[in-house]
Amino acid sequence: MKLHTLTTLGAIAIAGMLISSPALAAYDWKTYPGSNCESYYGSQAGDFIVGNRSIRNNHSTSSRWVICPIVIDNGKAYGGVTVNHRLPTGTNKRTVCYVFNRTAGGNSYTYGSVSQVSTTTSQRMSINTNKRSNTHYQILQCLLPPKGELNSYEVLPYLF
Amino acid sequence: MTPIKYIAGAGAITAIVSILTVAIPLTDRNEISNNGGSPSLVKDGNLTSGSPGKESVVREELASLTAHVEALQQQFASLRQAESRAGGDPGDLYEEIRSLKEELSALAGRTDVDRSNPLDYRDTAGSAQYAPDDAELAYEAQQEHDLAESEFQLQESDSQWAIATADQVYDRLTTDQDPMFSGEGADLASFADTLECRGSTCRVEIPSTDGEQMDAVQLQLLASTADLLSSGTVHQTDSGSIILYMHANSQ
Repeated sequence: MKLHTLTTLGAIAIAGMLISSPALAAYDWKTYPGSNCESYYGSQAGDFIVGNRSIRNNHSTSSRWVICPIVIDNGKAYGGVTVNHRLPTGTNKRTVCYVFNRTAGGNSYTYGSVSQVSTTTSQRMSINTNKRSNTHYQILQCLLPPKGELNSYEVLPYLF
Repeated sequence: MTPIKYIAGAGAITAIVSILTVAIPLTDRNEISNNGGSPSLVKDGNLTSGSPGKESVVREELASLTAHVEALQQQFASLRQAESRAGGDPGDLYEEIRSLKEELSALAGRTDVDRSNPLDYRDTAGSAQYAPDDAELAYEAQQEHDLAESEFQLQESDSQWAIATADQVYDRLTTDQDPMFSGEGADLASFADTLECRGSTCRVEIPSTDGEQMDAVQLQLLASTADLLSSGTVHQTDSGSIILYMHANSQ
């Protein structure tokens, strides 16, 4: 009985230490509403409906680009961005998103992308990326199909 | 007559010049005249008498002394000017010092980073790192471009994937072959100079064009091929053209 109690207490102590360890505490998962995004081309801004959480391409026939800010902390690694999207009016239209890594003075950049056919229910798609250095910044750009919605996006920590 | 020597100091020279002036007053009022090829000493307009030998000696001495006096007067004038510069107007000196201090301060500003300014000072993984300047960023970009190009050239050019993908990408650029996209698929091929696929990478070069149009073409090109080529690097050359290295999905 004593041994069992000691084992239990030890396990609790170890779990407590793990939970409070700096490594886990450093993970920083950020989720942003789609309404954080805006039309990439100013002349097309009127084609969007920005709600309290999402942004929708309200054009009936053409896809439209949106651009969304990504906030990343110095000294932390990020593993990618996950985008939640849907097409309330049906299917057969593809949403494509890019994460661009650019430098401050930047004519050169790297990118990662993912595309997925949107459905009436929200779907998640992830872009693997990694911030290269503190002289780079990242932006998310998505091409929303007609009536397509970007509900939210998550900036994910680098998990290993 | 003892040859006149520069002793030291403006005061001493002044005294010597004064003595000479008193000792040979003739030079103040007389002039050396050249009379029929034989210069003579003229006093109050009349030729003075005397033996030719003595006259010649006196004339030479006078000429020598006159030259010395003129030289001393010039030296004296120079010393006067130097004295005036050194102690005459301290304001000029202060102005010069202030100007030098400003130059030093400007030079120091170029080499020191204002550590209180977060824009100039960044922290990377716990170690101090200064923000690179434009030249460093340009160098870094050039290195990355060179690496991307050399990696591309090393890849196999006639693989099945390369041939098939080049055809697919070309179709995407010329017509909207992907019904999943709407309103896309303009004739992007007209903007592209070259299209080449090797190994698992396709390289597209877009010649320099209007900045906004270039941006739109890039985005459209990327979107049209996103399901085939999902990642990559993009570089701008010195001539303004854009080169895209687009990698297959597996990368």
